[in-house]
Amino acid sequence: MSSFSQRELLSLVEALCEETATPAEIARLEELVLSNLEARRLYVEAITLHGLLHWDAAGLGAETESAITQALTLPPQLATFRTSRHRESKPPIPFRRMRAFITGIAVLVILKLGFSYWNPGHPQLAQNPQKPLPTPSAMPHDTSDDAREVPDVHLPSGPRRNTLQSSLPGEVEPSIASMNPGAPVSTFELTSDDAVISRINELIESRWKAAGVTPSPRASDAEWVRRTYLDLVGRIPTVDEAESYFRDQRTDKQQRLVDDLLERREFARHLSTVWTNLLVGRARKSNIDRMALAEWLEDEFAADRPWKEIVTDLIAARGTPQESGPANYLLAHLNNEAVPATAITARIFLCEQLQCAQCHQHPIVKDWGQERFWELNAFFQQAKIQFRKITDAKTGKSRETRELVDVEQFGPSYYETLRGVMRVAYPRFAGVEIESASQESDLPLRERLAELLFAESQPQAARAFVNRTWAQLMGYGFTFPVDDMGPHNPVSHPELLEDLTAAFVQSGYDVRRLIRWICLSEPYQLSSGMPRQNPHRRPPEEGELPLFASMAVKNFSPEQLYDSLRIASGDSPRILGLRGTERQREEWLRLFYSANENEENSESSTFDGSISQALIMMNGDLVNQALSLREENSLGRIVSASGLSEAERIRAISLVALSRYPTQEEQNQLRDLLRRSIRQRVTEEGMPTQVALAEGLRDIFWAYLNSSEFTLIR
Amino acid sequence: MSDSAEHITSHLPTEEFVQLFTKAQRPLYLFILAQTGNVQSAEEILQETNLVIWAKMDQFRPNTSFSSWARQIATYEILKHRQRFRRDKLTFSDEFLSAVAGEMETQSTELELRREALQKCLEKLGSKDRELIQQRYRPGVNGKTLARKRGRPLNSVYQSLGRIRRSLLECVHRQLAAAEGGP
Repeated sequence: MSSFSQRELLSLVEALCEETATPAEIARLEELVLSNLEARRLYVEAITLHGLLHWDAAGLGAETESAITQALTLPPQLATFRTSRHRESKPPIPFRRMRAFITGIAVLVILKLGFSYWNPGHPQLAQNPQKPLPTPSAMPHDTSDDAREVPDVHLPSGPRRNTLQSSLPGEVEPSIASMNPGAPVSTFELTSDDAVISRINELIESRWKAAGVTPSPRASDAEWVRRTYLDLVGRIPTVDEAESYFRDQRTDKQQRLVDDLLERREFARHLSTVWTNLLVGRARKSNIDRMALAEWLEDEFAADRPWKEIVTDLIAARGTPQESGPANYLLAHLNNEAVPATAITARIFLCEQLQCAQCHQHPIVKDWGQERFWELNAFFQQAKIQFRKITDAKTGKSRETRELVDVEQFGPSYYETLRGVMRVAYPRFAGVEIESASQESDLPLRERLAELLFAESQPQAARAFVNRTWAQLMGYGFTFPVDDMGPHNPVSHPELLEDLTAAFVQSGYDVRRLIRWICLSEPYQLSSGMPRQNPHRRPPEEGELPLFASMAVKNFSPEQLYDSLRIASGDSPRILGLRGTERQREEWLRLFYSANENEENSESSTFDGSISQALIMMNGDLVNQALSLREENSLGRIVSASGLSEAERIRAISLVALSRYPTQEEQNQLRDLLRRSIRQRVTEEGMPTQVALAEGLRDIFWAYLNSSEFTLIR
Repeated sequence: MSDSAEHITSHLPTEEFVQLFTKAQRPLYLFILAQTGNVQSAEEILQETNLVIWAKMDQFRPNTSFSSWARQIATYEILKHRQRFRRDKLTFSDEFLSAVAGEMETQSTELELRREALQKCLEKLGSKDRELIQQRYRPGVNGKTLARKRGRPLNSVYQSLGRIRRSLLECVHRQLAAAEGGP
């Protein structure tokens, strides 16, 4: 055994530690270590010292080991792990997110690739096709008193077809039943659910043929199950729910799922959310009890109350905000001489933009003069908001509360014509005028209005609900916009609209059945990807009426986003219906909405793909909760699950967020990205591998939740 | 969701496995480091090794040595890594690897003692030396960046670091000898 110089060996190890060793030095080190046992021992001791100093950060991270143990046995602690080892160097959280952001962008690009592969059709369909909020009037409120000067009128931005223009007679008959002049009066008889579904298919398919359009292929299981959950219960399916649908081999599994979902309490809750937003908006108003209205609606939908009765209750309700859920509708809108109540009632229940007629003569529809607006308005003149002292059940103190009542003494509506003349309007609807209601009948005017809304054999209130429901499920209504069904606005499928309305009326205004028919019809089964060979069609926003030859891509509502994020983070669907969760959701929505007290009681929203929405999504508490590694969380489980390959973990994340498996290409790219990010964290930040893996998966999950695909219903 | 949790985590590691795995991290890292001489490559290889260990968890037989099982996996990963970087990085020969691996195994029993001794020796350092060595081993720092940060010539920093490491090595040596001869 040759002798060696300790000093020489140690200086070679120094060069190795400081990464300055030359190939010659490496060769000499090898020579020494291989030729001398003593040198070998010393080398191992010296390099071990270096390694220990590095691993434990020269004593700064002595508690590392116990931290790893905790981290691995107790996944919740994983997240806090870094503080122990990297107390000194831990980057501030924004930096971490920034990091995630960069990885995330890469993932978003990958997901986008995948998405455009799926959806070669119309990228612009991703724009918000819904019109969930009151929009400002399409016509300016011109108070000019010179009637000969035609005000600068903009028609509601509906699509126009020459054929329909020419079919519009100069004079439109006053009866509402003739609102769709192109449509024959329906003679459809509701014999069975299947008969309605076949009728939908027949009328939709005949238009495809006429237009020379090939419909999209049927949606994949993944696409369809996610769509149906979001449309019917307002949230994405859980991993369990999605996979049990995938596994189901029965031929009628779509029907089974629709029937299952319609029976759930969640369905009533989702419908209640949709209608509460339509009725009183999302912004919180101190003068009503929004939750009371929502809970009442949920009970009504759950109990299968006919739509006609629900509307009647909403219009005729009396009472205080807390005691009477439906009273909140008018309690919210009786301000300004009930002008908002009039405009909103017309828009919500009749899909008519009457607010324009408040000040303007309709340029095409002569019938839609100012008097039409004020005659409807007159029905609300008996309703007043009084203040009443009540004793609080909890505190025992008395306080004042608002109460919706019908008064004995009331008058007609007065309004100023375009010529500046004061006119009087008596309550009149559907051709029935109530001259002096207080004497003619004991029934309050609002109850009379509710009756008249449904008095005709095929009332507009039924047609409007059919149109809204169709739009809610299919992305577009038979008219565009959905709530502008005036005679000036063409209907895409007049015959179908009339037949569905007839069936809906004959069903006794059965909301569930209407939804079931639509969900089981052929157009609802289609994929959102458009076949390439089709002639290019512009979207309804640009004036071309929809053929429903492929599923429109819908944006999430804020509530769908909230509930879906909760599900993706691993919460049970049962939690969503709890009162506490509802309140948390309300709080979250307040980030986006503010109310405007104006003639339509509209509201402003930043839930529109704006920067502030993006920031709330990227950094908000809700997303951060979803990204937590607590063991009851989806991500925590995926991270702490052992025996899973990276690819399987990525699959699991994709399934949680998008209810689908990643494509092979996505999978490959994500796995590479994950590997790179782990390596980077381990080598540059000195993070232990398991923590780096968790962080890498967290970045991927973050990117999935922030991808456009997550917030789209396809 | 509890059902789906079971679905995703069908192979939960036993508590024992987790503990063995955790305890093995530091020795495994040092085992790899001795054969690569480079802290970054060692961490990379450790990461690859860990992934294989998790993937092959089912193949580990309880009551056999976890460390030697893990070392086997690491050895294979070291070879794989060396193959990949043969061209652009300085690497050791096969003989060197097996000789060092053998020596590491011999010394592995006293690793824990060595670590404890090092803690004591770090405390015994003069405050300036201790500060310097701690700064040197902060994540992302090496001799070069440390010299730049402190505004000192590179060579003098290397000399200081070398001197401190040598004295730590001697101190650890003494501590171990004392422990063997002690009560």
